[in-house]
Amino acid sequence: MNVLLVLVGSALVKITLDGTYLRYVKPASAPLVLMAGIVIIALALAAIARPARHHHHPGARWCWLLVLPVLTIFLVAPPALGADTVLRDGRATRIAPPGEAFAPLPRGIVPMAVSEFVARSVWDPTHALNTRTVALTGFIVHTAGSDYVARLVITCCAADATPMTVALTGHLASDLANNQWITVTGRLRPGSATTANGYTPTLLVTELHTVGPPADPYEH
Amino acid sequence: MPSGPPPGLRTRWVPFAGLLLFGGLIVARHGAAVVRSGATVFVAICVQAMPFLVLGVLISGGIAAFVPARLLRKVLPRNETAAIGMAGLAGILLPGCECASVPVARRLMRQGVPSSVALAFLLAAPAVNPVVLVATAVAFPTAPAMVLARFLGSLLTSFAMGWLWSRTGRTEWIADRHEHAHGSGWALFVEAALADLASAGGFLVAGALAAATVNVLVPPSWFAAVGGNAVASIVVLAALAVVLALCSEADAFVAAAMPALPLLARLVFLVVGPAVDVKLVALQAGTFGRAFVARFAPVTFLVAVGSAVAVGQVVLGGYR
Repeated sequence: MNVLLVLVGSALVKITLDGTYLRYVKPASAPLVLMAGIVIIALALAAIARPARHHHHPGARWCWLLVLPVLTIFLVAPPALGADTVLRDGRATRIAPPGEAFAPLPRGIVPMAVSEFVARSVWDPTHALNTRTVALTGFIVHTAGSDYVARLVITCCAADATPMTVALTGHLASDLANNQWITVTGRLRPGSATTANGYTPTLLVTELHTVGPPADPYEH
Repeated sequence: MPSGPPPGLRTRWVPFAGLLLFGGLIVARHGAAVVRSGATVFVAICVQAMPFLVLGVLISGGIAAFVPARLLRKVLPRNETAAIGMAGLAGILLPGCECASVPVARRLMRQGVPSSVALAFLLAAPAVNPVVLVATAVAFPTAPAMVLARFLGSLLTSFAMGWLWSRTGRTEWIADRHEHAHGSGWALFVEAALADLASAGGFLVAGALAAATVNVLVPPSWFAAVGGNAVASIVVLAALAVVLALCSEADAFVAAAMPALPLLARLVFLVVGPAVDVKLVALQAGTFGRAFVARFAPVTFLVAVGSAVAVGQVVLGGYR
């Protein structure tokens, strides 16, 4: 049992050190996960060094289940959520109005989070996006007849992921596979985010580049 | 595990084989992408919960090793009802998710704190701490009453369950671990913390597995479809809170992302989630035993729904 706990702790330390924890939890969790891993290893090693006489705990019968996340982390290392999650999500209207007014946009091409682009396209009373060129980074999602750039927003961990999608015009994106990461430049088509399309704005694409996946695949 | 009866190999492999069969069926029906997403969500829930479980077992071990039972008796009011109220409010002090409060509550019982008092703490801690309340305020900028409603709804649930347990609960429902306290100080601390970790860890994994499965197999659009009906939306969101097993810092954001549903139903979601969900039920089964969970979880569910609806009537102005 203590050996298993050492493995559990090692798995937590490993994903924090190699950065793959960002596929599962928010960046701010890193010190917590690392500490948890170290504490588990320390406790288990202390018990191995000085074994207690009685080890019979009824609940510990199910302790072996801990091999499942350990094996999954070491052998499978499941990837960050992507197009599959967006495609299975059928919700509409998931943008809550912001608590405060949007900050003025900087000059030039504006690099912007996909979630901010969607929120501004729906809730900005000044329609500042209508006259500006933005650059969005996300992954490709295709549905029947439409191409999207998408990003998932997480609050704590991947279990609460919420998709943000922006429809892309033009044929620049149609040849790319689902989950391909891109940076896309263009303008909002004014009034394109409607109740009918679940507040999905359209981007009039001027430029599209494929890029590598970012260190943190989610927005927060 | 050198001593103790070895668990039968057969019982050990039945759930495993079931799992494989179930996984195979999912692949056949939905494709491999769903299984990959499910694996990611499963690991995510485990990784997210583990630090809080570790915090819980450290506090629990610390109480076992360094806090004498008489000190706890001295701190708590003699009157049980007053002690339940105090335990509920003490939940404000433990910032973290429900995984931390389960081992702490079990330890308090073992140190002679009345079980009703420990259970009030168990239910209040994950829901009324400042981290969760601030997250709720951020998630609902246009409905600040939600923060007060959530606080009162969860506190009411914890008081009501503590009171109910003091009237009708029986200690023999709670499984007793044969624990022999050896040594003192650090040796006892390590042993108590590890025992808690071992008994809770496996069950946490089982809960995470169930929650991840529901997460990828149930399309969220189902839940948006019930928005029009008051009773249906409350029932569905209460059930959703149980099966999704979100951490209490994140559930407000998920609830905020369902603007089509009435505030009252979303309040039910926020009050039920931290009190009873699959991950928590699994943890409780591992810590308190199955006889306890079979009684405690369903009653908590009903009390939490009732509390949320009652508080929602007053604070949020009823169904809207």
